Amino acid sequence: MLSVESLASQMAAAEPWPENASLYQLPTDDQILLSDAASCLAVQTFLKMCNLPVLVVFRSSAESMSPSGKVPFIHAGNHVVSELGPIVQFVRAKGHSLSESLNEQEKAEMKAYMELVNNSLLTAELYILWCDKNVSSLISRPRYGSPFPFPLDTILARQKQREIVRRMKAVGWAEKTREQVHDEVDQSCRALSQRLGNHKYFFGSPTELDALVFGHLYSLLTTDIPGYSIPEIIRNYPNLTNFCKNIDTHFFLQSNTSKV
Amino acid sequence: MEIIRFLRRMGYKPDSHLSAKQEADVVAFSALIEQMLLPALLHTFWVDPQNYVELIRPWYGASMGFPYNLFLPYLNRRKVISRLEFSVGRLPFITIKETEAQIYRNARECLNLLSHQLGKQDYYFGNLPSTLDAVVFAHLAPLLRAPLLGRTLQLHLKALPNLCRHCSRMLDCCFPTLSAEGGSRPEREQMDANLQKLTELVNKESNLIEKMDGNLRANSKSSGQGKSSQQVPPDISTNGPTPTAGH
Repeated sequence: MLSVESLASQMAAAEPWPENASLYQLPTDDQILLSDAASCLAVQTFLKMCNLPVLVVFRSSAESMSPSGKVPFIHAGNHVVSELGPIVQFVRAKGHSLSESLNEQEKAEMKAYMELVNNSLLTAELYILWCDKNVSSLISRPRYGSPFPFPLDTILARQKQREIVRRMKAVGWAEKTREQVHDEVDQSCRALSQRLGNHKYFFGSPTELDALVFGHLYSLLTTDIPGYSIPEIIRNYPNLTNFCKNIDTHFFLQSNTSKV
Repeated sequence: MEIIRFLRRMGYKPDSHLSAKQEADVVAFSALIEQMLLPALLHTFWVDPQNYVELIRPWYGASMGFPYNLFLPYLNRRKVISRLEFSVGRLPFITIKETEAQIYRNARECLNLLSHQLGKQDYYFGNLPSTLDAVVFAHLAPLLRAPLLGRTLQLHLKALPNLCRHCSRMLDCCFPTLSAEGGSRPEREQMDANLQKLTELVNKESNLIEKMDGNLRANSKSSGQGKSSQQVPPDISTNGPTPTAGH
């Protein structure tokens, strides 16, 4: 297992970053959902921070094309890599790293905050999309099934919902109320805000943590979900909104970013 | 599962001495533990066939009456397995074997990170214990002290001396009765030299430690005692802190 991985990373290191690398994600206008949009935006931001050129390709079947079943994934040379963590490792093997200059303790902190985002913000997004009856029937299921013809759209969307609900049950979120979800989001936003303080980035210069936090906060801020007041919660922390604006103008100056 | 329930009750704070950034660190590192370490702990205790059959099923069953102890441990195990299925990826894309390997790789990384973060300090944020110390202790103590049979993770933890010392320090300050009982165990004897120095420190701080919420003691005492009161002296003497824990 380990040897296969190290072999793969050695092979990856042998080649430079290919010119025609492409990032596959779901179409942003009518299909992508909040949680996927956040992950895609995080990866895009990370690659922009690394200054690596990448062609963004929109495919409605991106989820089935991905090796782990999750969007986004990159196709670079002979490699197909999905999700932020593996992509960060892959890019590091190519000799580009944003967190190289951090000391051990800062690396531990970075990892901890990244897990905080995955543990609460991502889980909250999935909860809102699929466990809330109102949101899932009005938004999630129709959007998720939109590229497929009639019986398939309902079947696939239901299948997806069942899977996510099982996952939420497994981590103990399924029985949460709306207020508890708001609390969770508020707690992690407060932690992120306290950690960020008045700085421009979490660790002086941009890291993958900044990309991940930006991806999730920006998507949550720009999405209006009926019955939930997540954008208001985030706006309670002005340094977080400034952080988002800052990265948006710095890395996405002209390009119009994805919105759900 | 006790660990999760224990964590959920941690809504209160012995953290008045922390700065805003440190408070945020507590939240972040708790999330880190839940995401990266907890799956492997659950796997070690509930899924690893040796540990489950020899240790957890009898322990867990001992606390309930006759018909229940036949099926409740089994139900609980199934619940844990379904939780683990979702911890790193889902089935068609990643096999069970890969999942297990990934869970343990994450846990080893998490232990290393916790060890780095602690460094040479007594507690995570200087001289006073905080919620984070309690969270770390709650996760590591059962792993460190239970007489496990499938012990990959235990060996890795034992190779990180500062985390082991942190555990025994917490044990001394929060559960003095337990740590005295534990004095006869061989694994503890190896730490005695270090402990003597530390107890002096701990004594000085004991009045400050009173701040730690009483609730915390009550809760973790019940979960902690459930574990160690039934411990039989195992064959740990033959393999103490071996530095060969799989990296």
